[in-house]
Amino acid sequence: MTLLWRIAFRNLLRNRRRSLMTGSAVAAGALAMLLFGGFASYIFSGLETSNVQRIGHLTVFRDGYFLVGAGNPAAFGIDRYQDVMDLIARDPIVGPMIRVITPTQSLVGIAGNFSGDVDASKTFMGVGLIPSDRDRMRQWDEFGAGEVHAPDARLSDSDPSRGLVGVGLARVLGLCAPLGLPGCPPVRMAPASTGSAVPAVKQDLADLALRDLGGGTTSERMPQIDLLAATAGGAPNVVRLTVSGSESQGAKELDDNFIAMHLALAQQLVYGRGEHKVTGIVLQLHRSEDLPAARARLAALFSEHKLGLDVREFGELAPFYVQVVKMFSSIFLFIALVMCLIVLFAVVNTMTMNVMERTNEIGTVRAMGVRRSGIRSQFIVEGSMIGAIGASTGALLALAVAALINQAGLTWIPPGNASEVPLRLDVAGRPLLVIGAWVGLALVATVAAYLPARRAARLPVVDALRHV
Amino acid sequence: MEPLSPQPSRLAPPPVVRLGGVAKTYRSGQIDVPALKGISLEIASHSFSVVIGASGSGKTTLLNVIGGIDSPTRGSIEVCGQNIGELDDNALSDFRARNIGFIFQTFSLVPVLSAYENVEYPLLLVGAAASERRERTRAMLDAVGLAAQARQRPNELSGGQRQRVAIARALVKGPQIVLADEPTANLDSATGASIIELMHRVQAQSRTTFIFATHDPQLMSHADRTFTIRDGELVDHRSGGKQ
Repeated sequence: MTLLWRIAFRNLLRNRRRSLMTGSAVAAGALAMLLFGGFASYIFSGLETSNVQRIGHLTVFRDGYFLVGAGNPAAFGIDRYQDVMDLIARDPIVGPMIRVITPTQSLVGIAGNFSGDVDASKTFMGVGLIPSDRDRMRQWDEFGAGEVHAPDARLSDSDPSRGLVGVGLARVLGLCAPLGLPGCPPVRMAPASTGSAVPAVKQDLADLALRDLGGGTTSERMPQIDLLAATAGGAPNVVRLTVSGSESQGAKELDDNFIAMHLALAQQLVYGRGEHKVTGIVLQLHRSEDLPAARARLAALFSEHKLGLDVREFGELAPFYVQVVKMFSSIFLFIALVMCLIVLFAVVNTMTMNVMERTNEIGTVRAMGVRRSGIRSQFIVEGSMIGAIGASTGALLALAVAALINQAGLTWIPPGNASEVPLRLDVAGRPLLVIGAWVGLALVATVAAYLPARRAARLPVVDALRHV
Repeated sequence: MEPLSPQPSRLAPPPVVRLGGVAKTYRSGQIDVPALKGISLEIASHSFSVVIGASGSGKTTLLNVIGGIDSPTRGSIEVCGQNIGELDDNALSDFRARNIGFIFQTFSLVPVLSAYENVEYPLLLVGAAASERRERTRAMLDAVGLAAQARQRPNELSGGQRQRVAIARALVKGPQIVLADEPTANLDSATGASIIELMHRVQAQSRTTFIFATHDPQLMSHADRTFTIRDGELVDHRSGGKQ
């Protein structure tokens, strides 16, 4: 230990109470920053995990689909999508990064339940997917922050007629009883029609749907609904969906409109007997950090093969995630700023008092031949030492508190989620956050010590020696 | 202005301090307060010189400008052959670290360092090797009779012991000059006498030039040369310490 550090450390011990108070302010700052930072990190990880499980890291669309395709998904189908998927999967750069690559078909239409006494219909937003790929995607949990879902038997690769609906849509369509949904009000039936045209149309739709499916292939105990949509060619088309379950969506608008179905059924509805395309190719990567590289490579690949395809990240498809990240980042920045200000004033105050008390000592060592820079360094080292010790204490406390909270088994419902998840503070898993907070506070303490240190260094030697 | 001290003989050692018309004026509010009024003097090497005068006569200011911790308003100061007025702050600090030792009335030890560390401090400033530091520090603590108190902090030492540490600290680097401002003022007469005896003995061994500012008659009696200051002017100088 050099003399500088030895003197600094002993001077901190010499003014124990003052050093303790200042160090405590730094520790409190580190604790607050790290606990909130750990909470925010966990939210980011949780949101990222749920998004990546749902829509992957990247989605490939036809050019223009992202901006204007939602109104007419059928018009933006990707031709020969299996070839495109093979091209991506075989690419030596992006291929190894990919965990799941799967086609998806978005569609909009009208869902109707005309079974028994029920007579309800509702517009829907649907997605066609491959159930086994969906199961694999829902097991992605790079950060250990999400809910790892068991394979969902309600959808099956071998039974394309099955699908899931949002809980809200299930209520609207009068599916509460067959699906066993609690808390549903009775469905208001449409008033009895005086004419005969409407029942006839409903019967036509039901017959058409049955014919397209080639007869009943699913469990008769599951409710069935009819889906009506316009094909790519503009003609109306109808399929019958066996509702094997309901799934709550985070937002009511989505919950009241959502239908997930087998890709084949979605393609049958949108493309009929024409060429089956998809609106998107979803890519889930092994690691999120590969996302920029994968995106860049895909863009280059599509450009090279002149495919007219576009790649979008999950943050663009789910702007809520980006908004939450920005909001929490702003709050974190604000907390960090307040803590830094507190540390700044505490250290300036302490070091100013130290300089005043040790003015004669400063004069003595200057007379002995210590340069101004030596005096400056002495007090800066003391300030940084307070900062380092305080920040270390705060970091250790934060790790301990986070461990306690993580062990406590608390749960909460994050924004955009439909179910409770464990409340965790991700401090230990975020070394950059810990190091960043530590370095930041130690730096603030060092900077705060600079002004008093500079004043000490500029004291005239004889004035300092005369100071009592 | 001619220096008051006689021209050195061929056998006499060269002057280690040479002041030419040194004046120092402090400004107190709107008033200029002259502390030194054109003092010229020479102090020979290896001497035990005393500056005497009433309180406020300028003794401390004279020592301060010789030591390079205060700058004169005008005049030249040559110490150890170096015109210290030409040095910038860093060079002056280095010059003090190498050539000048200070002993203060209030001891002025670094409170968080032990006696050993206080004595070792000046050697660190001149970049002495660890083995040399160890050897010289121990030897100097032995010389001032504080080997047994080496690990004690200043607040665990008596006034006399603290001043012995201060003397060891001033001498450990082998400076050419030791400037001591009222070194016995805060000590009882017996302790003061032992400190004077110690300084005299050490000076005789090390051949270092000692310059004191003092009121202490005991200290004056040991002087090779005495300078008397009154109202910032050098009014008398004589060989020996008997007044």
